[in-house]
Amino acid sequence: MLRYLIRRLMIAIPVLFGILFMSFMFTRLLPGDPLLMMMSVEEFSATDEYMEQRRSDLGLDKPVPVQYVVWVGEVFQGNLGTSFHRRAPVTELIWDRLGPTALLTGTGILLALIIGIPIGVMAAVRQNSWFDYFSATGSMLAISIPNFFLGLMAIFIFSLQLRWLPTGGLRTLGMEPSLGDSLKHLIMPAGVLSAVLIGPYVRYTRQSMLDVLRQDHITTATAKGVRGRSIVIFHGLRNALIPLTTVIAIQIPALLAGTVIIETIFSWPGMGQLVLEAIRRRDYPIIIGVVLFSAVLVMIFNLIADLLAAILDPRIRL
Amino acid sequence: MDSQTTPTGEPLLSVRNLSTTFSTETGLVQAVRNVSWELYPGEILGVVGESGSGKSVTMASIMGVVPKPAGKVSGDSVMFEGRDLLKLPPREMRKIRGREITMIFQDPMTAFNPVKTIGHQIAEAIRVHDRRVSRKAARARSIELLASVGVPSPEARYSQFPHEYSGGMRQRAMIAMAIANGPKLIIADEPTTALDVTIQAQVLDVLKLIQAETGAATILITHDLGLISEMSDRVLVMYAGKVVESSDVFSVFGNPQHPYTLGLLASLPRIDTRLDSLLSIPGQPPSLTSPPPGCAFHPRCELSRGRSECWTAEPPLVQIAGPTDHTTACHFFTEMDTEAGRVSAMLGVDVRSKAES
Amino acid sequence: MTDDLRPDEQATDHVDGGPVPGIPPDQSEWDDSLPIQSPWRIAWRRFKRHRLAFGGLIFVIILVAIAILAPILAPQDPNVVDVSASRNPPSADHLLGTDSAGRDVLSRLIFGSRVSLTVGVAAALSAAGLGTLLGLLAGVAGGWIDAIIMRVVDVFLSFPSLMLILLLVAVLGPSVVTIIVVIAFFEWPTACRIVRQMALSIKEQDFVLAARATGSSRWRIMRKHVAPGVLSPLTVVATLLSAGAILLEAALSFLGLGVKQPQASWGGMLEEAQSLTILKEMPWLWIPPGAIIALTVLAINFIGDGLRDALDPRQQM
Repeated sequence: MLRYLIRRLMIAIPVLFGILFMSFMFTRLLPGDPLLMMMSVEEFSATDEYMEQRRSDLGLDKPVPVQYVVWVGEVFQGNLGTSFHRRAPVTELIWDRLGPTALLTGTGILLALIIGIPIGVMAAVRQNSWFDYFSATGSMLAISIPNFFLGLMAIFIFSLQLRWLPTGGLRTLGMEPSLGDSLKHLIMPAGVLSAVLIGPYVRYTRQSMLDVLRQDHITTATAKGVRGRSIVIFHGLRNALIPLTTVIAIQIPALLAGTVIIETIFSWPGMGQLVLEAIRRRDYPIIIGVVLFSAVLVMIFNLIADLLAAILDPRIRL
Repeated sequence: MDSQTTPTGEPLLSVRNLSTTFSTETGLVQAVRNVSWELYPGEILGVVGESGSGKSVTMASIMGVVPKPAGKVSGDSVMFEGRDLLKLPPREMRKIRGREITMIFQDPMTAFNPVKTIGHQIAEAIRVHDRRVSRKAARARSIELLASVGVPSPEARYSQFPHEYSGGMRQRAMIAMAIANGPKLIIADEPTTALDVTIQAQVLDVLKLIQAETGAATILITHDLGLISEMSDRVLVMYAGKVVESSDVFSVFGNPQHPYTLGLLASLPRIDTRLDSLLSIPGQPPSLTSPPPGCAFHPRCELSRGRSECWTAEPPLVQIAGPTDHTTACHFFTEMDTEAGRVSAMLGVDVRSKAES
Repeated sequence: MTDDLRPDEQATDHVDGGPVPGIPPDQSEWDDSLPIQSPWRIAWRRFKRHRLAFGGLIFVIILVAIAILAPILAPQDPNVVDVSASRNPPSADHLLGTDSAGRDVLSRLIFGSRVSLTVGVAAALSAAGLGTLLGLLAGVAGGWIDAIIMRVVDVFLSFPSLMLILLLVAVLGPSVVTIIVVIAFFEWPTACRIVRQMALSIKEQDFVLAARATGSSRWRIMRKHVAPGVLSPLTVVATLLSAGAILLEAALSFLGLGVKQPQASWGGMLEEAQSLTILKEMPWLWIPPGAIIALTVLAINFIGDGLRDALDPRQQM
């Protein structure tokens, strides 16, 4: 187990530096002075002499590899620069938006798992039935409908026509925060966000279940007299979950990309909204900060998924 | 073994006109075609035939583990101790599977769930049929079972995963699982094929020992004639989804009454024959989507010599006059003695007598 | 035994010594003898049986025809602004009504197909091409080249590509070409992974090992054996990539970072629907473009599905 973990980390480390490198390249390739991308709030009003001093401190007059090392050092200390527009440290801005985004994506994944896995299992158990056919078409539809269109339709139907749910925001302004109110605001964006995931989850669960159910040990379990339902859950799904952990992690970038659109449509004050606003204003430090942060997050989730797979599969543990 | 040559009394299992088909992309595969046979308590029945002859599918049909919905089992009845397994509701069938009838599979690597411990899987077989057995008791019993099939340090082996076992050990564990609930019938489907030759003998010894101890009737599916002659009391020869010959082991090997059986015997290498004089059966097993008309074996048959009966009429399974219960499905079985003589002359050794070794 | 015997002939030449009767592959007269067909033909036959995929193909063909014939089919000039006819509901003059600038929605819809299809095809082809090149390189060369390429793939796959695409488009300025290039630049890793996987498995197959044993060079093996082998999974990937590219372009345009106005694009037509008034009162402005994007992507995805089943039923994503 430990050796496996170390091997995974050995692969993750070059990826981490690759992610940092790509982000660094953006700071150098984007229009504008790289120095601007690394300043603190106070420094915006500093004198020119001071800025020249800073420039040489940060190694900006040195060759690019040195600049990279210095930049990575700054990032590890939590310095992602300062927003041009908001005049606040990027780390702080991301931190403020992390909560709503975590809530949104967490609920989205949860919904997708709760809906997607049982449908996938059923579709595999009843292969080629009407249920299988409908779930396949339905999940294809979920993959194909653009999420912004789905979001607009949801608002149109549930907020404007039926008036069941608010059109957006984290909670009703001017009202005491309550769980019910928050849930009402959460359900629509999270549901639309989860639609992106449900399709792949259904398809992979079904495929992975079919692969397992074809295996000999399922026949053994049947021949032992194990009940059909127990076979499906304890021998089928239990084994099918192993490849599924990777699939769930693979979808995380798509999920984070989805937040850009969903948070915009539903006025959800999260990282996605922050980054889109920054793109519109050419506020590069924020963009790079969010992108870097997301990529590291994805890397961490991949590691967790691999770890989970190792826990679920004794054959990997060695 | 001696008392079993002419079985008497009520059969334990009686199969009547069983057929199994699979619908595939290329058409309907008739894997088992209208077979009937009996199994008596305590006996070992060897079922022999090429791959695709319907041996394994027959057993899967009896156990009700034919993959659905592609597979379809039909027939008059499969009577097991007064119950018709074909008409039993799924709930009742489940109680029989794994308790009264159990199976040993060909490849013990794939037959165990790779992510659960061997011990857990044996204990599951026990607890599935008796919820009153505590987890602890099931564990103790499983360890006992592992010990009884010769798995060393069963206590530690209990919590190991299939991939931590060797091939022979896995098959021993499989046998332990099969006898966990004191079955009346054990179906062993090519139990040694996937193992190394040296391990095969050990596993067979375990199987024999267990059979003698439990007295459970055993069906041994194999394409290994040597194994059949060594282990079984009676033999069922299958070809293209049908039973073509059956009798006690001495009659079938000593006095084959079907050209296919003779062909199998002639292709068996023996220490006293030269390898280059082995005869093989020409042609290949027939397609089961459109089996040959008449006798399915006729395109490959040496005895047929193009006679029209062979491809116009299907030979019935008939009783041969004699002291033993010997049946064959050949139009010209009366010529079999001459044919066997001819083949023996060609090989320079009598194929008939050798299988008894 | 002569040297030029093919391996399969040698195999049938000796008598099997095992307990199984050795059976030489003889032509059984009862076997349905199928005429030898090219794999692509068989695949086409299987594909046609996949009804949804076939329907998808017909839909896409019609769409391509519409895109080509747009100037003839469109009832009005898609870019003519008529402030007096702003936001009119569907009528005989404007079958799908008019937008805020008084432009004919149906005509814009028809012309919008050009953007979506161009981006879909061009971005998918470039992404698949780049991915194939690097995937083959990684799979065939192996060693440290493989390791480096795969780590780069990991890095690319870690980023939420929409954010980077948005950033680059914002910097480079929106245009169809920019969008194509940027999408290709961030979407190649999927193709790369699959091609590498295929290349690796083909490399281990007997006929390739045999070719290597007879002294074929690495690059000859790649050209002769590996490249044709990856073609069928690649077709599937390219199809799915184009569906993804169309969705991405629509998202970019929806966010106002896609093709430049006034050029008509489906995603851009939905941009207006971010206003609640339009969303509520003028569904003709946003439902048709949204639905047509969904249908197009659905059709392409069905084609991809059908191709996957037709080319290799066991092939997974």
